[in-house]
Amino acid sequence: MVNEEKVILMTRLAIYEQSTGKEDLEKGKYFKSDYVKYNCLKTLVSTTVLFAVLVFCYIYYNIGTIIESLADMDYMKIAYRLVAIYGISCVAFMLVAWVLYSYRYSKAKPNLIKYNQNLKKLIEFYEKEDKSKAKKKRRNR
Amino acid sequence: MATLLTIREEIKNFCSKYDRFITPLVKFILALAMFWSIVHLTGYNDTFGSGMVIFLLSLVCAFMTEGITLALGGFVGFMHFFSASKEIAVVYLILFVLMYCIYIRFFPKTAWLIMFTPLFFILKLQYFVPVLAGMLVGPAGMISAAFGCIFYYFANYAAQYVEMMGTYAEEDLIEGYRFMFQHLVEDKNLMLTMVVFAVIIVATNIVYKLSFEFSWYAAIIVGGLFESILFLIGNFVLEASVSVGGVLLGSIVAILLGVVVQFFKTVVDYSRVENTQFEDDEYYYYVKAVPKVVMGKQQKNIRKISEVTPAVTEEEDVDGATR
Repeated sequence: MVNEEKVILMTRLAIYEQSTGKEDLEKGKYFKSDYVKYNCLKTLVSTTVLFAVLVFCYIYYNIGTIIESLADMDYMKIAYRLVAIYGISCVAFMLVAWVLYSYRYSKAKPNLIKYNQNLKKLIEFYEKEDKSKAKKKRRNR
Repeated sequence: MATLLTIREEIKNFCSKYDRFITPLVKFILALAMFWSIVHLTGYNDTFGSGMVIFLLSLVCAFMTEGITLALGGFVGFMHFFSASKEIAVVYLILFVLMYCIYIRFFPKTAWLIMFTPLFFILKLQYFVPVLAGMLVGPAGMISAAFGCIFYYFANYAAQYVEMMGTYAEEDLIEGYRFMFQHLVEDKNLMLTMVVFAVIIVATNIVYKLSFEFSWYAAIIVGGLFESILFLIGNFVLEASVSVGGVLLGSIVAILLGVVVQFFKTVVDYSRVENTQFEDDEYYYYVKAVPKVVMGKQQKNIRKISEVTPAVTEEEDVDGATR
């Protein structure tokens, strides 16, 4: 026979998994620190791409003046400046990412706790069912 | 007003019941509108400008996520610019990469604002964008709206450049990337629009979140009024060439549209009918979970208040209870 209470619980879990839970469950795979670090790493990659594209654009846009002053350039100074700008932009983006992803994880956590509680309840249902089935078998013997 | 509220409830119930079909349909229409706006602004490639391709792409977007719709929109735009000028297409691609790396990666849910801002510009409803973003997105919409504005102005300057390509000889022509970059940086209208949009999005959102009565409608009016004032001041200070009549009329239309959107916003916020499938050891379950809001039928309580004898009043009350 269909257990009404169990179906309600399973439906709630399924709805959560299909809708808002999709993103939350993805976060739930990680510890908070791992999730934040992983996203910071992705941010570092995208910042590097951003920096490379911007440097390329700058060079391409000013190619004429750069070629003219190629001999007089202080390469060490330019390198220091590039590294400094890259470092600052990385730190800035990572800081944004750290705050943002920490906040998102904290926001998803209560929903995940509720989901896990419902899962535990469901497991208890199954355990009860198994016990009652075992009893029936013993009686039949 | 009562009729309007009833209509809204009916629409809400209808959407909730037939969500399975309405969501893809709405996504399809929105994707179609976005592709139409891209083709309207560019239209250099016959294949990607044809109705059939646009229809098919919209059909695909009806079942895809917002991010994929944005990527497809970007791809269609790129193909059009590539057909017109390779240099402009590269600039466009760079803009797209920058947009993704700077912003969309962090706030993918604001992507719709970038997709539809050019459409609002084409429909001359651009002044509605910050009010709408303030209502629905909040401060996260500032940069998305700015990128939307940049893409619209980019398409306009690209059209100018393509026109120049037809009239000038190649050696007299300035490089495409230089032309685009110079015009985008120096355009005071673009600068003014981006700044005013950002301010209005924040202002509208702050008032929208306040807890006094009718704060939602107050936010829309404040947004519309501030927008017209800021555009007029900015026009004067930056010596931009934004049409004063257009700003005033546009702000009034923005307020009216904002009120309409707010009124029907609950239709979008409705709790959906959920169809789920799962199984245990004994059964397969195909469950349709209908929210109780949809199940409750419309109830009208008509109570007549008139000076009648107590006996008659009692009788009416009994009628009302059994109705």
